[in-house]
Parts: sequence; C-alpha cells; structure tokens
Amino acid sequence: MTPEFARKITRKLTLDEELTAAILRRPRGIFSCNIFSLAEFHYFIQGTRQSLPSVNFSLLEQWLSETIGDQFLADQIADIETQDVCFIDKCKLTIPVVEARLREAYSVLHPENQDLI
Amino acid sequence: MTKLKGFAGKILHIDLNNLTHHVLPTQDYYEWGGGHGFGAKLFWDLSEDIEVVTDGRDPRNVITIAGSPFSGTNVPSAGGRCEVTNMSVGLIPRNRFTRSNFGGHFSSMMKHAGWDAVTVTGKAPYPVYIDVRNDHVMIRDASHLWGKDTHETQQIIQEDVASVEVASGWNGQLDGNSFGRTTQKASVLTIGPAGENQSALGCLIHGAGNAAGQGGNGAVFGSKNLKAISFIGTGAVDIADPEALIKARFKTRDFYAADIDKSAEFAFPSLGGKPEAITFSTMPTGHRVSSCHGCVNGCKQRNAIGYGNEVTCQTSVWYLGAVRSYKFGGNAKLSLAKTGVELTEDSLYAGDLANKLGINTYPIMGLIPWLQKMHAKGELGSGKEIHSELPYERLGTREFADQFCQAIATGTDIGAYFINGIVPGIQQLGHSADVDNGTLHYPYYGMPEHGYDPRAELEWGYATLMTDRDMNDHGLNWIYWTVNLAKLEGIDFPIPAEVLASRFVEKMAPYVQADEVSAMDYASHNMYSEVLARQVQWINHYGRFWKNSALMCDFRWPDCVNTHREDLRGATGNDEVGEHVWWNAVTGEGISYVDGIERGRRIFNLDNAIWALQGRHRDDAKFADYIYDHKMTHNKLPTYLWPATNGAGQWDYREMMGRQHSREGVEEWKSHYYRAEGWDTATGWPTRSLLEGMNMKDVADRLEQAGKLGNEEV
Repeated sequence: MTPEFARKITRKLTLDEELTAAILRRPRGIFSCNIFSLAEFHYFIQGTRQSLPSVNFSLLEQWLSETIGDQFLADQIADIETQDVCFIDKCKLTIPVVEARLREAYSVLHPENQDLI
Repeated sequence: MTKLKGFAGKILHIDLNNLTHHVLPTQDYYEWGGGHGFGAKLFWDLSEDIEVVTDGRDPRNVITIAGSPFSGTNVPSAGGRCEVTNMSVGLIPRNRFTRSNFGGHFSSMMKHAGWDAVTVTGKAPYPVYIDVRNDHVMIRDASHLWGKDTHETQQIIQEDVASVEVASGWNGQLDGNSFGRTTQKASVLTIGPAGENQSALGCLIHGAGNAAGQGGNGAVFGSKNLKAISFIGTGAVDIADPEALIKARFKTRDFYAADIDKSAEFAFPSLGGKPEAITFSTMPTGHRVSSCHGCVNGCKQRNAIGYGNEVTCQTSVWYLGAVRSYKFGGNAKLSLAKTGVELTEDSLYAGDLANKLGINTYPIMGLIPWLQKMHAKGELGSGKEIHSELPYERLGTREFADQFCQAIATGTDIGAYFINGIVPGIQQLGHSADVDNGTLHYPYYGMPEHGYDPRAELEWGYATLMTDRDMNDHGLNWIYWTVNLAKLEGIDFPIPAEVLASRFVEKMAPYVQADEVSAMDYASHNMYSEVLARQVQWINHYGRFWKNSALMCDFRWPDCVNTHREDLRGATGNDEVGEHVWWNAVTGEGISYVDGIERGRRIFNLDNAIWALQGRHRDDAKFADYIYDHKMTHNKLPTYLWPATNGAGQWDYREMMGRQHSREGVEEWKSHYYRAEGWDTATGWPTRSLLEGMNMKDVADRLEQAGKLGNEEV
C-alpha cells in the first residue's frame, strides 16, 4: 500500500460522499447515521451491547469501491455478503476485515507510532 | 359516591393570577380515573376560553400534573409515572390540548403529601415556585432560582425543604395536626432556561433526567412565571385490598420473572425483564441501575463519573453522530484505539447538558446533521445566508454542544429561529422543502419521527394522526424488536406470524373479536382496512385509560405477548395479573379490563371535543408530504418485518420496506376510523348522540354552541 493510497482510504469524506446507515436501539428505534470515513465506519459496525448497526451490504460494497476507492476491501465485503450467515454475523465478519485494512494504512502513514494503534 | 381507596382525596388548584390556592375534592373526578382523565376534565372545567386560546403560552392555559391510584404504590411498573396535560406550544398546523408523561418519584411523593394532582391556571406577576409540604401549600418567590439550571434548582429547593444530613437522615414535616417524619428528599419538577425563555423545545425535568417535553410543557411553565413545583409528604397510600395486591405481585413473578442467569435478551423490555439501563453505548465506568417508584424493573442509571445520570433512551444519543464524526473524521488511529467509552462520555455529557437546560432532545436530534450540512455547503455561519456565530467547525465537541444548547435554551443565535419549534424554524429559514421531501424526518404535526416509520409501522402513524402528538405507545412495537432482531441474528422467530397475530388480537377487546386476526395484517392490501381502524381504536382507548390515566408504564404495558411464559400470553387482561386486578386491589372497585377501556373511550372523546373547540378538523390529520411521495427506502436498513399475509392469505413475517402511503388510502382509513368512533366523517367532530351516550350532554351543548358538533351519520 502506498502512502497516497493509505491517505486516500482514510481521508475524511465530503457530504456528498457519505454512507447512509442506521443504528437500531431499543426503545428509540431506528435512527439515521451518516458516515464520513472508513474509521468512522469501523466504529459504527462494531455496535454496542445495546445497539446494532444497520447497513445495506450492497450499498456498502459500492461505497467502498466507488467512494472510498478501495476495491480490495469492497471485494472482501462482497465475499462476506454472499455467505449464508445472518446479518449480525456478517457485521462481525466485517469488523476484522476493515480493522486490518485500517491498521495497514496506518502503519504506512505513521510507521513510528505502531504501538499507539 | 363512596370514597375510593388509592386516591389521596384532594386536587390542588393553584391560581397564579391571584397567587392563591384552593382544594378540589378528588371525589368529583373519580370517574376520570387519574392522570390524563383528570387533566382533560380539569382543562374542560377550568379553561376560560378553550376556543380562542391558540398557544400554550397564553396565561389562560391550564396545566395539570396528575398521578393515579397506582402512584406511590408497588403496582409493578405503575407506581412512579406522572401525566402532564396542557395546551401545546409549537405544533402544526395548530396547537391543541396535549399530553406528556414522565417517571421518577414525583407523583408518588405528591400522593404521600396527600394530593392526587396539581392544576395551575393564570400567570404569576413575578417568578414563583410552589412548595407543598403535606397540607401546607406555599407559593414562593423564585427570583433566586430564575436562571438556574434544573439540577441546581432542585438541590436548592431540597436543601430549603429539608436538609436530611443535620437530622440523622430524618426530617420532620407538618402532617395535618401532627408531625410526620421522612427520610426522603422533596420531589421537584422544574424548568431550566429553555422553559424560562418560553421555547417550544423547553421541557420539565424531575430528578436527573425524568422529562416531559412533547408539547412544550416547559414553555407553559415559563409563560406562567412558574419555575418549579415541589412536594414532600410523610403519608402513604391507602390500599383497599393489600393482600390481593401482594398476591398479584407474587403471581406476576411466578409467571413472568426473567431468569437472570439465562436472560441475555436484546429485545424490547417486557414485564418481568431484567433490570438494565436504557442507554445507547457501553457504559463509561461503574454504574448502577435505578428505577421509578415501585418498579419491578429498572431502566435508568446512576454513573460513577458523576454526570449522565438518568440520561436514557434518545437523550443518550442525540449528539452521538456528531461526536463520532468529529472524533473520527479520517482518523484511523482513534477508531482502533477503543475510544468507545470516550464517545459515550461525550454523548452522556450532551444528554446531561440538555437535561440541565431543560431542552427536549427529540426535536433537536434531527436538526444537528442538517446544520452540519448547511455549514458544509457554506450557507450557515458567520455572515452567511443563515447567520450564526457558533463554531460549526467544532460540531461534535463538548464546546459546540455547550454553545448550541445555550443558544437553543435562550433563543439566541441559531436558537432564535427555533424558539417556536424545529419545523416552524426550518420554514422561517426558507427550507420547507427539506421537511416536505423527508431530508428532515418530521412526519406529523411538526414532531420528529420516533424511530418507527409510519409507512411500515402503520399503527404508530395512524394513532398519531388520530390523537394530538407522536403517540409514543410501544404496545405493538414489541413485534418490531422481537421479530426483526430474530431475523438479524439468524435465529428462529420465537412464534409463528399467525400465532403472534392471534395473541395480540385476543387482547384487543372490545373492538376486535378474537378471531379477527386480520387486525394485525400489515400487508399493503390491508393497510387501509376497517379492521385496522378498530385496532387503532383499541390502542387509543386502552392507552387513554390504562397508560395515560391509571399511569401504567408504556415500557411494560400492555403486555400482550410475553416470552417468559410458556404459552407466550402476556399479563394484559389476565384475571390474576391483568390491569384490572391491580386497579381493583388498590381502589376497591370491581371493574373489568374492558370497563377500563370503556373509560378510556370516554376520556378520548372528551379530548376530541376539546380539539374540536380548538379548531381541529379532519384536514389537520395529515402526514408530511414525503410519507406519501417517497417510498421508505432500503438504503439504510436490513429489514423491517411485520406479520402480514400474501395474496393467498398465507401468514408470514413480511418486509414492509419499499412502500409509501397514498393520500386517498389514508383518507379512506380515516373515514373508517371516524365511523368506528362515531365521529362525523366530514369533520372528525363528535356527535351529540355519541357524547350523550357517554353521559357528556354538557360537552355536546358547548360544542353545539360553538358550531363544532358533528353531524349524525344518516
């Protein structure tokens, strides 16, 4: 991964580039959630003990490919999407994939600060 | 009429015009049950000019804070709720008599002080607060409290009423002719700066975070120069049949108590569910669960960090999206460094801030991303088209939250546009299109979507249209959580769709027969049906009595389906643990479950008579344009399943996504509903025969006098 590519996939997006997703939380229900970077998505997709992320995987794949500009990551998400597992398991499978990509990018951008990751 | 047990026997009427008070005998109001029933009847009796008051900030507005026979008792999930009724502030197309509700210990302390409700009329000449110590009622100067936040105000009043530390934990209060003692602090309901500045976004706060806000209750207090109401009491509630009450408690435990070792449910809280704070994220540090008076569950929290106490549900997330975007932006390092706790703390900080300033967070949550976008587009900021000096580049920080909330609470800077509500403010700014096209999700009456889209969750939208506000009734919403979470988790549905529909329908007496399962069929071919009108009728009438008047908690009642019991049948209507069992044990009456619903019908019809006098017409009951013009899109949700049949009549959980309402269809459904209620289908107004049939001839006479009586169906 080149520094330019690492900067590209970790950049903060403009408003036109956001990923629209949602969070499910009882009893509040569904609330919209606009995601402006891969890092923000990484936090979002983890959910919490009392909330769930909610995202359309086809749209996610498209966003990673066309907006973030990371076809490799988009392909990995496409693989996850085709697996015969439930939505929550798909989210769980997504976390380490995105995390590994972020770590890789960060190690390129800030090789001196590995232990901070 | 024999004095009923459970009631304190007195209603406190405060006349702020003359700074006097007098006592209304509760006996005159028994038939209205408590809570909302009391509020509606008191509004009807005490309002000088229902027809001409168009804004809740008018001094002629009547605001009532009412408990019920259950308040101050240990009826499960019913002892601590409190109902607020008043003319609204900030609703569109017009204000109307409305309601809100909060938990905690206010209604129970009011009862222990010997009062069933407090109703306030007029406007004080200077800021005051009401200080009630058992029978002793004082209207006191609040100039030293004006400008203080809600937490500080409560502490000052509590210290003044009784400093428990100096008396070994006990304080004494006059109790009639004798002297009572208590270890409790005074229970205070107060406004913050938002209410003082009469913002439509101002709410009432009790404790750290129990709030009543929909309808601008805070602005009503502020317009009356009323800072707070405080009660302390040393009495108790007289229960008609304590043994029956305790037996029902034990039965409830036997039937429904969750096994704490097995329970890991991520579902909607149900009767008997485990205690758990309803806060969005990972809790920041040590915390313990707290609850309203007498509740068998606990859904709030006290935090060791010292703030964010009782910041629950939506208040805990209103600022989260902004916090996340600000902190992460493009910064990979932060998201990998386990900063969830930090995010949660910032969200709790923002929730606490809103509670201190007395701001209703539901409406402002949708505003934040809109402001973010307007700023990014260069249309909002210093010297821009929408002028504002707030530091939008720091939106997501505590610093921005401080300045934004101050602006909203004081009606300054960007807050000046939203003093009358979010939608009126957006309209004033020339961006009505963003409401019409669904960029902003405010689907009805200028109120924010609750999280459940009316194109999918039909009853939520319909019941809201037929009442005064976002209905906020989770009675059927259990389905959304249980079914959709099962789908997302990839596990079997806990109950087949048709059986689930049957379980719900069998609780919907007297409006839906036990075999009319189609009342739970949310298929598009059934969405404007007559039977769905009767289903919503049940929701409205059940809610008006058992939840809004008897004050059973919305998070637990109705309990239609309960997975803690083998046959999945919930407590609602059950002759051992149902609503009427509690009512009869506490009051000594002998009513049935359906009798309570019938009382709700009467209360609801008095509401509608008030709305008619206030100018409400069938044409008011409409969704925002985007509900009709745009499909509920697939782009953010994986699923929105609900029981429904296909063309062949086969039941399953079917996808509600991708559909929209039609204007003609909603109008057809409204006509079904008006007929079911016996209202004039052209206007939505009640008819004489209907009102007289419910012993409300005086109401019919007044409507006729005002030209607002509905025509009888020919």
